[in-house]
Amino acid sequence: MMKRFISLTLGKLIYILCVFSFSVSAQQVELESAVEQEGFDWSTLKKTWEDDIQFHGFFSQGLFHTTGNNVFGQSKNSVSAGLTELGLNISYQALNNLSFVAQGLYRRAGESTGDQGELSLDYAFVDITLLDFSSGRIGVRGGRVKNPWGVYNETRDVAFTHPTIFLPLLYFERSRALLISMDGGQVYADYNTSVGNFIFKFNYGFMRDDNKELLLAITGGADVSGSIKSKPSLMTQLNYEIMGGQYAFAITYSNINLGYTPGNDSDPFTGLQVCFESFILSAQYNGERFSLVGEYNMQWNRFSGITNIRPDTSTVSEYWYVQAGYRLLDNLQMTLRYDSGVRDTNDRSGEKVHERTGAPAHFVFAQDIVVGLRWDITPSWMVRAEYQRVHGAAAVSLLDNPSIPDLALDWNVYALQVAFRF
Amino acid sequence: MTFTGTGQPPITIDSIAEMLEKIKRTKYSIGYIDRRVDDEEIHFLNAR
Repeated sequence: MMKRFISLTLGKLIYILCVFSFSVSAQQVELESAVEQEGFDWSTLKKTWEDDIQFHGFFSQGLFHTTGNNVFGQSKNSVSAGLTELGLNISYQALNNLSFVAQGLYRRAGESTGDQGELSLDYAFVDITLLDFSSGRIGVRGGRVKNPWGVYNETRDVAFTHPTIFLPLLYFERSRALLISMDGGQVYADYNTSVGNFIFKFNYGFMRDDNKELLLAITGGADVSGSIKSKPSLMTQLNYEIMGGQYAFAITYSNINLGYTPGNDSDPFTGLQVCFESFILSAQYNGERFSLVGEYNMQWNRFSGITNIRPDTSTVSEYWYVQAGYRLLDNLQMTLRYDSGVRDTNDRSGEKVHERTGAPAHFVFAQDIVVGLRWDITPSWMVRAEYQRVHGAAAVSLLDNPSIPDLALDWNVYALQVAFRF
Repeated sequence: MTFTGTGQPPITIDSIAEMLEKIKRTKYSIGYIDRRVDDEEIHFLNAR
C-alpha cells in the first residue's frame, strides 16, 4: 500500500517537473525580450544580481557543568566547553520561482564529534515554485533538504531559534543524524485562508546515517564494527496557524528505515533491519509576553533480522513536554519546561530491561525540569543560562558516558551559552 | 527561513538615500523608512 502510494507520488512529481521546465524557459524568453525592448542597463543587472545572493550565518558556544553524567564532553564534576556550532549559508534567487541554497555546518559536540569537531553539508537544494497564487504556493525542493520534525528540528543547530540550550527529549540528540536533513526531495504547499494558514511538507529520500552515536543507540551500546545505512524513508508535516502564528498546530509523521552493513563475516548484527515510525503532535501559543509550547511523540521501534542473538522486537516509545515562556522585559525571557521520555511503554520503570540485560533500569527513561533565562543583548547577540534537574538517563550520550552500569539516576546540568547570528 | 534555505530575509540598507536610490532602480519594490522624504519618483504610504 505504502509502496504504491510512493510510486504514485513520484510519478506525479516527475510529471509536474516536466510541465514546470516549460514554464521556466517561457519566463526566460519573456525576460530576454523585455531587456531587448528597454535597452540593456548593466548597472541595473549588477545591482539586482547582488541582491539576489545572500550570505548568512550563526555561531554559538556553550559551557557545561554536570553532576552524575556527562554532556558534550567531560562535564561531570568539571567544566566542558563541548558544544560549538558554526553555520554559514548562501542563497541565490535565480528567478522568481527558482532558487539555489546551501549551508555548511561546523559542529563540536563532545565525544560524538571529537575535539577537532566535524564539518558537514547541512542542506543544499534547488527550490522550484511550481504554482504561485495570491493565497498560496506549491513547489518542490531537491537535493539535501531539512526535515520537518516537530517545532524546532529544522533549525535545531541555530541557538537563536529555540528558547533553551538543550532541546526537549523528543528531538533525540543521539539520533540527530537521522533527523537534521535528508538526501532526496520535498514537496511543499502553503495555503492561506480566512480561517488560518496551512503549510504542508512531504520529504522522501535517504536519511543521513554517518554517525557513531546513532550506531551505539541502535545496537544498545555494543561495540560493533559495521555501520548503519539508510533506506528510503519519509517525513511529512502539516502546520496550521491562526492569527498570524499566535496559535500554531502541527502534526508530523515519519517512517525511517535503516539496514545494518556488517563490518566483517562474524558480525552478530548482520541482517539487522530497523524501522522507526513516529507521530508528533505540536501546539504553540505565542503571546506578546507569555508563550506555551507542548509536543507529544509516539514512536514504534521495530528491530528485526538478528534472531540468532535476540528475537524481533517492536516497542512503543513515548516522549512529551510542556514548556512555558515569559518575557520579563522585551529582551529578557524566562523558560520553564517539564520533559518526559520513556523508551518502552511496556517497561516504563525499566525493571524488565534490567532483569533481561542487567543494564540500570533508568537507562530507558528520563524526566527533567528545565529553568532557563535568555537575554537578547542585540538582535545579533544573545546569552542564556540554564539549569536542569534530570531523573533518568535515557537520552545521555553513550560516547560521553561509555559505561552503562555507571549511569547516574538523578543528576544536574548547569549550562551557559553565547550566540551570534548575521 | 534564513537558516533552512526556504526564504531570503528582506535586504537591509544603511541610509535613507540609499534606500530611495534602490527603490527607484528596482521595479515593483517596496522599502520601509522611518520618516517622509519628498521624492516625486516614489509613491509614499504611511504605515501605522
